[in-house]
Amino acid sequence: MKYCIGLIKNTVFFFLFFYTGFIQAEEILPEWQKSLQSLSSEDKLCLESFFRTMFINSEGGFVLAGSKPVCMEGILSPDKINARQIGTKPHRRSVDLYEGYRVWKKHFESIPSEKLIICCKDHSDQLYSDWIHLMWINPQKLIEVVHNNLSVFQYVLGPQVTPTDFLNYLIDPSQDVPHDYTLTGIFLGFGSQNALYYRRLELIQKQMCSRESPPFNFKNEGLNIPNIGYLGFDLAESFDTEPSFSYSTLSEEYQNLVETRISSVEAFPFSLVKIPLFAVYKRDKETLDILSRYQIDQKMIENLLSKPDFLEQILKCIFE
Amino acid sequence: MKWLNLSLFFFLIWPFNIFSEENIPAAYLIADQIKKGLENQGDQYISSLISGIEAKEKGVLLSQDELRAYPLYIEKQREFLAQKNLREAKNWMKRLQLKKNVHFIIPLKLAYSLIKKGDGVLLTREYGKVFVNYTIKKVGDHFPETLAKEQELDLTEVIPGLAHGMLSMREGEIRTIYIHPELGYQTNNFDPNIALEATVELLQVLPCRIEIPSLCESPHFESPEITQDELDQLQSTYYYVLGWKLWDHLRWGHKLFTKEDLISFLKKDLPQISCPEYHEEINKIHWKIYHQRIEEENNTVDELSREKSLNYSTHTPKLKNWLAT
Repeated sequence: MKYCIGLIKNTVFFFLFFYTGFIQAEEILPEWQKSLQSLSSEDKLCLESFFRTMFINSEGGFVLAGSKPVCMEGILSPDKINARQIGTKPHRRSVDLYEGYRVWKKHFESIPSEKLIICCKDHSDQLYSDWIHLMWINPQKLIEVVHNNLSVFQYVLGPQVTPTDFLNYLIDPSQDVPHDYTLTGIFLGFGSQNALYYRRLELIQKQMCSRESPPFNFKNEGLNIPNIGYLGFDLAESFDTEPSFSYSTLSEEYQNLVETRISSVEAFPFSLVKIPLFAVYKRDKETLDILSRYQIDQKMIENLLSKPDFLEQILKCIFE
Repeated sequence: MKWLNLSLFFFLIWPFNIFSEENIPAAYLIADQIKKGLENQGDQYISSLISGIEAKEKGVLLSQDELRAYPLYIEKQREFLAQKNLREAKNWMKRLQLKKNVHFIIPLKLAYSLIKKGDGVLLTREYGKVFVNYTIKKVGDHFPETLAKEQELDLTEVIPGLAHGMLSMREGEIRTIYIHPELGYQTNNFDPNIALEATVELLQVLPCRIEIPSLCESPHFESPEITQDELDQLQSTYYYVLGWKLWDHLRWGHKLFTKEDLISFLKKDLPQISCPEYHEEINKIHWKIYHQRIEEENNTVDELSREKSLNYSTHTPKLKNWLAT
């Protein structure tokens, strides 16, 4: 009888010990790891390829690392692919991103992360109708940058906009990406001064490329910028801008903007991961800080890319 | 009875099975995507596309001229349109000559017809700043390209056809001005060589001395006439190159379909697939093709990027120097 009771005790003990241990192990395993384990080998490859594309051929690594608030990539709208695009580099990148995002959406999108939100607009862009936008957003960094430039955001979007409103707007798949050049430059992490300068260049180029606006003279004649020729923008809306303060002609302003800009990538030596590309106009504290942060993160990203368990490390970075 | 019911059930669902997603062959989906992405699906062009596929398979290389076929086609297409519009503009001007109420300022280039007489100040070349209402449309269009009310215009900043077409108007006058493309936008960022029709009401001549420049002879470029046949031939060459390039990518899908499958679906006039669910399926096929290529070429995703980075390394570190100063 004693022997029987001992046996029962031992069985119950072992059962409780192993079972609770098993339950605990189940609980300890984070959700992202469970999702990773549930992936087929093909889906794993898709996701890894997606991250590598975003790290090497785009600027996603800097978003995850926290130095860049947002990075955007275009995916060719699947229903508008021209036969000429099939097999080209943009198509290959689109295919990779589309497929990777499909896996991400199915298995990881619902898992909360403080460092990264990946979202995709559910419609073609209003301005670039053949493309849909994929966005990588670092919510904390975005809120910080919008907060630091709140007056500019409020000037464009209305005095009531808050950093959180703007974040919610960006992650809403039904909303278009904001088309204001300055705001875009700021939330892409190029610095507010550089964004303000580059906006002028983009506006003048937009005028050069846009359709003639009757009854006014040819734009080329007015701009007096040589060698523009036909740019194939017959269908673009006609658009006009005036020279900025302190310039008497657009041509003068344009020449100055072209001559004084410097590419951000020129500062740093060869590396697999390029730092985010933007035009540097101002040697202000903000720009210097941005560049040094990018340089620090560049090394971290390269280190991450060299890991044999790259996918797991990335997911760990995102969710932990 | 039970067996009969079952057979009837399978007989009824059989057609749905045949056309279910899983059964649509990869070659069909790809052929459908290619066809949808072509500007012209005529037999002649599909044949050229198929010839390109065959040529790539046989290892035929593309010539420099063939590689330039697409930009050349676009250029010639625009020239063709410019020539067509110019012909139409000339004919339009000739037809206007026959109308009694149309007065020519420059023969076959600039004319107007009076809609309403004015009795105010006369517009002369010396006072080129005015207030006007206007509507401008392209010849043959019903809707205006642009319109404005009570707009201040400096006539030195508008197309010469409008400025010179308005001369001798009086305040309160309304006239329709017929502008040949030579005095309009010629072949600039607008429909090339399109003639314009502007209806203008002169509200006020402002007392500012701004002289409207006299008309100068615009440079005349006589490009050789392009025929429809030439354009078709160029388009066929471009479709041949397109087929060649498509097969350069699609041949890596040999595990999914054969060249013969693809060609046979391209030739057939099959119903087009419009369900958005197939986009995922097609994308997956392309993904497999790209990754098959990587695998077979022993390539890496980042090779292109590395090449690019190498190019950057040869640049002068301008920013570095700039920051140091």
